[in-house]
Amino acid sequence: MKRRPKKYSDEEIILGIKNKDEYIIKYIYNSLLPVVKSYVTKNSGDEFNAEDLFQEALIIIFDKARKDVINLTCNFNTYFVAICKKLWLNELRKKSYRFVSHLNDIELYLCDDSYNSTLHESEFRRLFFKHFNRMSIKSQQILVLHFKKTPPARIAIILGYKNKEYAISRKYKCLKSLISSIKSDPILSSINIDNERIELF
Amino acid sequence: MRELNYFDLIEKYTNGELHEEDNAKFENELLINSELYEEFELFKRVKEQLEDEDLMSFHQMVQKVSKESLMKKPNSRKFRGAIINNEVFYFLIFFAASLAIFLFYIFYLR
Repeated sequence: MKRRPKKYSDEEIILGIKNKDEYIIKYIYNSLLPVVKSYVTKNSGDEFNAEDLFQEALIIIFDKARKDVINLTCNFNTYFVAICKKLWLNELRKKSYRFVSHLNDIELYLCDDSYNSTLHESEFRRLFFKHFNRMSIKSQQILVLHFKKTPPARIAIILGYKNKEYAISRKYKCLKSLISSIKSDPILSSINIDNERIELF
Repeated sequence: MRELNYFDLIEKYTNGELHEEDNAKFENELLINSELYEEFELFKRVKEQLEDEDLMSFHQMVQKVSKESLMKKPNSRKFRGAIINNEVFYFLIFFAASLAIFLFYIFYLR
């Protein structure tokens, strides 16, 4: 049986996210997923929504941590849950639910003052991952490899395709289906509108 | 140029596979045709996202952890509410079984 320290400090957690430490991610999953799940299920969502939200929040924090230093003025758990709440409220607003139990963003203001821009940047990313996750693992791999600038011949070897022509045609089909599925998502138009609104004000 | 759909056109353009003439045509079309422009913007954003190697690898790892936590769920729910963890539980079963065999031996087989 592996023995690990049961508690990590906030700095360790953020550093762990930045360094893609699997143990830290597991730790966050174990300690915070139940909290997020109970919040979402109490506010007209289900467990799958909570799972998506959780991943999105992790990616947001990772993105922020690698770009600049996160100076938390509160506990990491509070910060994380506040991000999830904020994301969920945005989602509900889009679906135009009028009766959301507690609409306060105050918690996040207390933790981190630059949160609003962070969340807006992530809107498209979230849509992207929603569709990306739906693809098969091989399709995901081929796209990632292609954009890592791996030559097609090598992709064919890695994924076990017959020849490089087949790898090229697979990549073409995957990218096309990914883009067309994102394009057909009604959320896309709402993101574009949001962006225009930001520019106006 | 018309025969190609937007996606093919954009892909060829970004890969630099179009002829010079078609290239210029495409750039002109981009200014006039809002549908093509939108699709081009979308393509660029998706490409940007996929090229972000760091983030993609982080995402893959999170995906993996998430799957593991989903698989683990039924197991951990079995003993929900009990203070003892799995190892202790199996040990107790083993202990009880050996005790039963021992008692059986003492009381019946002697």
